[in-house]
Amino acid sequence: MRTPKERLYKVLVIGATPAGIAATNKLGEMGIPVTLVDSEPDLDRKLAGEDCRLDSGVTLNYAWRPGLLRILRNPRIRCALPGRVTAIKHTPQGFAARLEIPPTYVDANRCTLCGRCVETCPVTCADGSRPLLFNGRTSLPGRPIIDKRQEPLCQASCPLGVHAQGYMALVRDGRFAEALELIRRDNVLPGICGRVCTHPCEAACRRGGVDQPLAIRDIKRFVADYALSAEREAQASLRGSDQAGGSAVAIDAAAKTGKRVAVIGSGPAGLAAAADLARKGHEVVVFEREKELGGLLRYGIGPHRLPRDILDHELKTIERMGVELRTGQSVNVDSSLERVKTEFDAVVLATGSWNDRRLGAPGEDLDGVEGCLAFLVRFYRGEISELREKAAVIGDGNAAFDLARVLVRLGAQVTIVSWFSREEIPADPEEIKAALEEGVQIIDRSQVTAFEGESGRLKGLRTVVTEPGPPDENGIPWPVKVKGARPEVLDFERAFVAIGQCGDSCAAAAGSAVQRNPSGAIAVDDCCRTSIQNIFAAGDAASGPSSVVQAMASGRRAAAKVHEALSGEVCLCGCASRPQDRDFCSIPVELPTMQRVNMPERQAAARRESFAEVALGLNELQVTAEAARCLQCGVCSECLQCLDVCRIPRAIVHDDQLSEEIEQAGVVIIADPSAAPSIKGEDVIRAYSTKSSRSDLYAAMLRGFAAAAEAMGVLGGKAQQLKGHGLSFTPPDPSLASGLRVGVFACRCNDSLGWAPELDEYVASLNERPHVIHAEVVPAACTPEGSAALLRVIREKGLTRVVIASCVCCPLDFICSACTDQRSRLKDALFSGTGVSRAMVETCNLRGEALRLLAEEPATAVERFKGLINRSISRARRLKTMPSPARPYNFTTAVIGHSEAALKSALTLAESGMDVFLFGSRDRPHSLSLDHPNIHVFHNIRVKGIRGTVGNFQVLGEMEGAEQVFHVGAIILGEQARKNVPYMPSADLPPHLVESSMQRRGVAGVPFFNPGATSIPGLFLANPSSIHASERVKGAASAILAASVMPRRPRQNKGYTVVVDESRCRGCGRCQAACPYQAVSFRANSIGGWTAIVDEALCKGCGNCISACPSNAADSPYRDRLYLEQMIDEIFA
Amino acid sequence: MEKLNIVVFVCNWGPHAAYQALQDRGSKIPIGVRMVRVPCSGRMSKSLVFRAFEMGADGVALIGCAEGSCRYGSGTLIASHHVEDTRGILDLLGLGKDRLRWVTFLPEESDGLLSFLNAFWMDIESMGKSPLEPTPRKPVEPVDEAAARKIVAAHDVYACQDCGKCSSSCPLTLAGKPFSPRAMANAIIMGHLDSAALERDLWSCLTCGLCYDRCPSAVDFPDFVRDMRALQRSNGTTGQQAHGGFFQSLMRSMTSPGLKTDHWGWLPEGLKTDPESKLLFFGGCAPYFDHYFRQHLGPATRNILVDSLRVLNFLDITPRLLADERCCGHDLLWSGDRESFLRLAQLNVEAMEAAGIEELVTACPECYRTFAHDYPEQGVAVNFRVTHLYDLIEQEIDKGAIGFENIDHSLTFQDPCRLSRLENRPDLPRKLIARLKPRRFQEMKESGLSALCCGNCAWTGCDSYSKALQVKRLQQAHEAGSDLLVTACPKCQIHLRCAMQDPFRGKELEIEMKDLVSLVADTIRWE
Repeated sequence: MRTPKERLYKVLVIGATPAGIAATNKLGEMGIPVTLVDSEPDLDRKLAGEDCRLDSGVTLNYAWRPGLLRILRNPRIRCALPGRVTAIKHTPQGFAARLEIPPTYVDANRCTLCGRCVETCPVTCADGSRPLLFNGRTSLPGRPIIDKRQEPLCQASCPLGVHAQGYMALVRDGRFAEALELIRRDNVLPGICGRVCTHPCEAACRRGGVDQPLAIRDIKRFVADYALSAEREAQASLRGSDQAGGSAVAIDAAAKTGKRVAVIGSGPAGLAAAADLARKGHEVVVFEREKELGGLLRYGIGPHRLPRDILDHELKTIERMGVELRTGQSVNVDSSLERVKTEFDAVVLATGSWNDRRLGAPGEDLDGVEGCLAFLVRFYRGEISELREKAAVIGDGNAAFDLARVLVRLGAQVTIVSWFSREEIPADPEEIKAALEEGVQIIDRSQVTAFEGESGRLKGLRTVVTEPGPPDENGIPWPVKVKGARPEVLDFERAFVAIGQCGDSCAAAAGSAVQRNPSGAIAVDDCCRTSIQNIFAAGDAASGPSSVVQAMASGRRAAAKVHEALSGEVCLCGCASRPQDRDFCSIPVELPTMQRVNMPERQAAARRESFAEVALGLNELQVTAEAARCLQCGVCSECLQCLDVCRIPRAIVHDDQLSEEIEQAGVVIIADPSAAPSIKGEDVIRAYSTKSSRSDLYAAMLRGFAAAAEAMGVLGGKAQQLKGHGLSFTPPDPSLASGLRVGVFACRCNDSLGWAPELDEYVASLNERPHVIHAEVVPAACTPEGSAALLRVIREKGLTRVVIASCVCCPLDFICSACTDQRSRLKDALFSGTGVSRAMVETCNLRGEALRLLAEEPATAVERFKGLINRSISRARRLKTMPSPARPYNFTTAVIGHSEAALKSALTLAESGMDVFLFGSRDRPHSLSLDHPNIHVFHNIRVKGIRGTVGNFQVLGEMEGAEQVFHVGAIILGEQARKNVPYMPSADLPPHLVESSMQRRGVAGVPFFNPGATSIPGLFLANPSSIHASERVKGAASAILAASVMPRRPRQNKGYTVVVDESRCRGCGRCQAACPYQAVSFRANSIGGWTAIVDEALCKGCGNCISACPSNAADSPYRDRLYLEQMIDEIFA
Repeated sequence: MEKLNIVVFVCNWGPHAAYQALQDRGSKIPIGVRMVRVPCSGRMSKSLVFRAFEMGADGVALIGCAEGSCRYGSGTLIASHHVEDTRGILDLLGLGKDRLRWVTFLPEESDGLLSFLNAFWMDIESMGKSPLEPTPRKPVEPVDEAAARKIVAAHDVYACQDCGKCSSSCPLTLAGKPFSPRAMANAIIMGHLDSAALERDLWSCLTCGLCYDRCPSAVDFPDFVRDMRALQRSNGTTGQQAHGGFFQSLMRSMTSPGLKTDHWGWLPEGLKTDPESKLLFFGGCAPYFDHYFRQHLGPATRNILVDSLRVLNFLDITPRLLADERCCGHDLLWSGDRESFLRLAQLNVEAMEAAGIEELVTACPECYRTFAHDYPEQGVAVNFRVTHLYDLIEQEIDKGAIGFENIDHSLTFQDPCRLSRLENRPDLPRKLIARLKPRRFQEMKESGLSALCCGNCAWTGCDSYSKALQVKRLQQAHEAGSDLLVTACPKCQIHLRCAMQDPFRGKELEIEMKDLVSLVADTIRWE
């Protein structure tokens, strides 16, 4: 036999099924630590199904709401919701379970369930689902969860990681400013990229699989232009004011770091790096050797594609971010660096790649032959104004076509000579089409083998026909000359070699200050560092020629590394937050196909005459329709709009992570076998049945209780052993201070229902009222900061009466089926161990009663707001101390009966360390002996009746004609005993049998209680009838019901329990008839009559006795008759 | 149309969850609906439900949990009874029972709740505003000492010789209550007008008049207490109004001029009345009581009205009935609300005048006393004759040829203090009783001018001592060896019946009760 386990005092419950909840609930009441795991994030939803509907018609989510909220508030219970047990094994201390807790992205302790995130979220997926799963204000725990899938392909393929899905969603909603802001987080040149980006995102777009990819770049362009034109309009209206142009530039509120960074080069890489560094609080200076900024953006791209005003505007925006831009300041990488280094803490080299690649064919040095970039730089410097010659552009990339189109505009007759076939030309098809339209001719499949010249000047090109060669490792069939083909000579006056750029190979060869690659690019390591300390390099200068977006990405990477080097902070770029194992949302088959929108263009004839922009942009209708085609693959688009509205609660955590941990527990209860990995072993407690039908809810609940009882037994002596007698007492709750110092707090509920200035004014005006010491509007009372602030004010200002106008309906330790996590959280924060008494607080449901009406009926809302606050203040003045009686408890349980269930309950209690008196029934006394030191069997006692209530029951027995009374705290009745041992409400009142029926729809008169319990607290049934569970299960269940009824901690004063005024009580008994809990009993008064007394521990506060009382003798201290009367009066006032 | 006011009392459990879902979903709950959350629908007493109407509600709904799902078991049934009783009262009051509704919902049934709220709103809209005018609230003022001195002087309380005969005869004091008319008189004379003891005692007095009967200085203590109560009301005290102040609330609501009650709609067929008659039979509030106490006591005091009409018809008198009869105002006057009393008295007198009434006949001792005595005394001129039904019967019997059948009961009689003592006519009912043919008639130990009160007056001050007093009275009835307690006031029946409700003594206190008029109606015959 193995050594017994030295069990950890902790239980793991797998599955929040009715059985799992029942077990957790009871263990929680017993003070045993529990971890509850279920894959469902919301208990309210989990228990709302038809399979959770009780015979009464009420589903468990409502019926058990008090229990569920107590589970959430119990500091010993940890709820892993959602959570998953992936593996479980035996350990010497019990069990070790591997727990996987997926991210929900919302912090349940902070969320106010205000719902604003849902409102602001722009995303609706193609299948209609939305990223924020919000089940309303009843969810438990009270928070929505965010549905995030793996990174959308558009974003993943973007070197900058721009949240394309996010801005698609925002654009669809017409929220262009927000869309721009979102783009600018990752891309500071949206207007430029909206025009010239190679848009790898579009190539990756999943919509392409349905019909055509989204026009992401065109939408970006629209968003940028939209802001620009808005800004221009604003400027026009503010002419002369230099404050004009407050474009929404997202600058992090980062404090200045005092570090200076120089960026050499103002191309896309340099600008991207400069912007990011500025956002981090560094002082950034960009050095540009040319007279104008922009690098290749200005000196490499034709204005017909990228108008210079767009470029200038984006530069200005970067300047506004605090970046200093110095033009005409050449910093020679190899000679002037030292000077720069002394002035700056770090340098980013983003000097680009300015050398045209040579074709390497004979005659390349002839006059009339020029590199693409060399020519363009001359042109953009203004050195060339026209070129009316027959020109060849050798090359077939975008640059070649761009050059061709520039030449067309300068008056040249242009031919592109490509070695690929027309179909294989790598330039963008739009670019090819545009060039053709503008009159550019294309000669394809031609390789230039020599430049033919005359007197040192170009006359023509010698070309040879090509054919696709064998594909390389990337699958590109680089053309090869057709064998034996005859060369052809074409006449040209000018030829431009446009086959890309290369690094400064001379510099590389000559050896320079910074180390270079053989290709001439600056050598960098993984962290963008060059060979010199604190000098980084980015963009084409480091990587060789690339696209604008890649250059920018490189710049950002370098900026991140610079920041890391300067501050020690590691910046997390990209989307670490997305779960890589969750697939995109599905594409419904019903989704209609729809062609992508095409951008209007200037007519070709008009284009040739000027450098005016060719593409004319989309309009608002077009972009919203186009953006609506987005499938919203990642569900949550990470547009981060929700963060904006959740600024106060700060409940949304976008970088929440899946956590995997090992949970150790002494006992494991499996309530949902489908949620638990298989594990063998007798000590695994299973709270489910493989045999009986799943639909028997009561049986499931009993199994849960039984499992908890078994766990209690297994943990054995460690469970709190209550023996003998004890006294339940109330926590030190100060009685109401006599002085009236009223504080009023009105909660805005994070503005979820709006707010109005009148409300602020009204609250401010309350300070004038007599006794009102403090009146304040708080943004959200139920957040940790919110409740802490309330407590601080209460203490600092010595408030003695407090009005809390939030969503909390009552300050009592009472949970009804409409209570919410937020309400209970706020109450818990205010009243648990804080010294603030419930008795001094008046609450009202401002949210439901007044704020709800703000949008549609503002006048009524304001009126109700004032009414509620007024009523609450006047009530606060009348608050009374709540009763806090101590109550003696006997901790012994009597078990009466012979059934297997009865004996099981006795043994279960005994094994968990509690004392048991075991009796037979009236006709059949016990003769057996149970061999357990904690069980005392009373042989030969005939039990004739039982009396009393929880903590103080009497078993009335008879032995050989002599009456005996046994005092116990709880009673468990076997079924036979229930049928023949009567309950005697009091000595002089007629006895009756204990009812075993549970609530059933349409049958009035039975209160709610759990199976195994009765309407009389402390009295339990070992064999609750017509429930299909084994005797062992029933017996164990009744044992824990009895064990958990004993007090283990101070009782909160209730405030709602009924108190009877003895002088008024007529002893008519109507109250007793109205109370199914036997909370009402009688004692003789001094004038020969009887007076009713209500047992505080048994009273549930329903007040049915109050309404039956003819003389108003019965009333509850908190919501008394006067309170209700005044409330009615004041409603109409 | 003026804004409608609808109050819904919503149980914490099922319906509040549903209501809250509506609030949270932003559903359009009709704007005039005001929700009051209550711990259980059974918590809402009839007085609280009715109070909403008194304060200006046009419609009220009590919304509880679906049957079988009441958290506390008993609430659904109790609430439905409260509503049923109150609906009966609303019908009598002419408001229409449909202004009050009882509905139940499961927590998830928010859609059903919303449709109910909308439908109820439309129902109330079609019924229009309630004719009840909210009772104006008056600012609380300290008790005027000069006014108190004036009252003391007016009732010649200074003549009190401090002999203690009042206290030694007071049935409350004798029941063990720390209560002394003498001490109260002294406190007022001394000007201790704000003491808690005075406040308690002032509102405890039964105004039964036994002390007045015994007082050697003839201090009219009941009238004195009545006037002091009116004065005390100015500082906001109203005493312990039994049943949550339901009846005061009901009677105040009858001071609305626009109200047209439906006082007689329930009357069984076969009774002859004459809309042209100058003789009015004034029924009194018994029909209301029957609805109110239906669940707990099950009285049938409106039979007194039926039997009165039967006797009148027997005597060939076809009286007129005021279809919209209001309360006489007795309880308002005696619970210190003189202003409402005067409003009501004025409305009553106007109605009588408009109907050209020359003689008012009533079987209720309180109505009789109030019309005959208090109206003129309080300055409301009455230009019709006020006759107690017994007087009328006596007159007719005296004409001859009338006899009575045997009654197989031993009778005893509970004096109504308004008739026997305050109007000093203990002989009137006895004369009639003497004509009956019971097995036996036996006075109780204390009877006539010395009779013990039924234990309550004007629905104030009901408590353990009034119970003790009532128990004592019932024991006296048993001691008299009788098996039928004859009463002459519906309230005596109600109060004594209430005392019989006792889980411990139940059976030993029980005795059959019948009003004298019913006894007469059942046995009267032509000879």
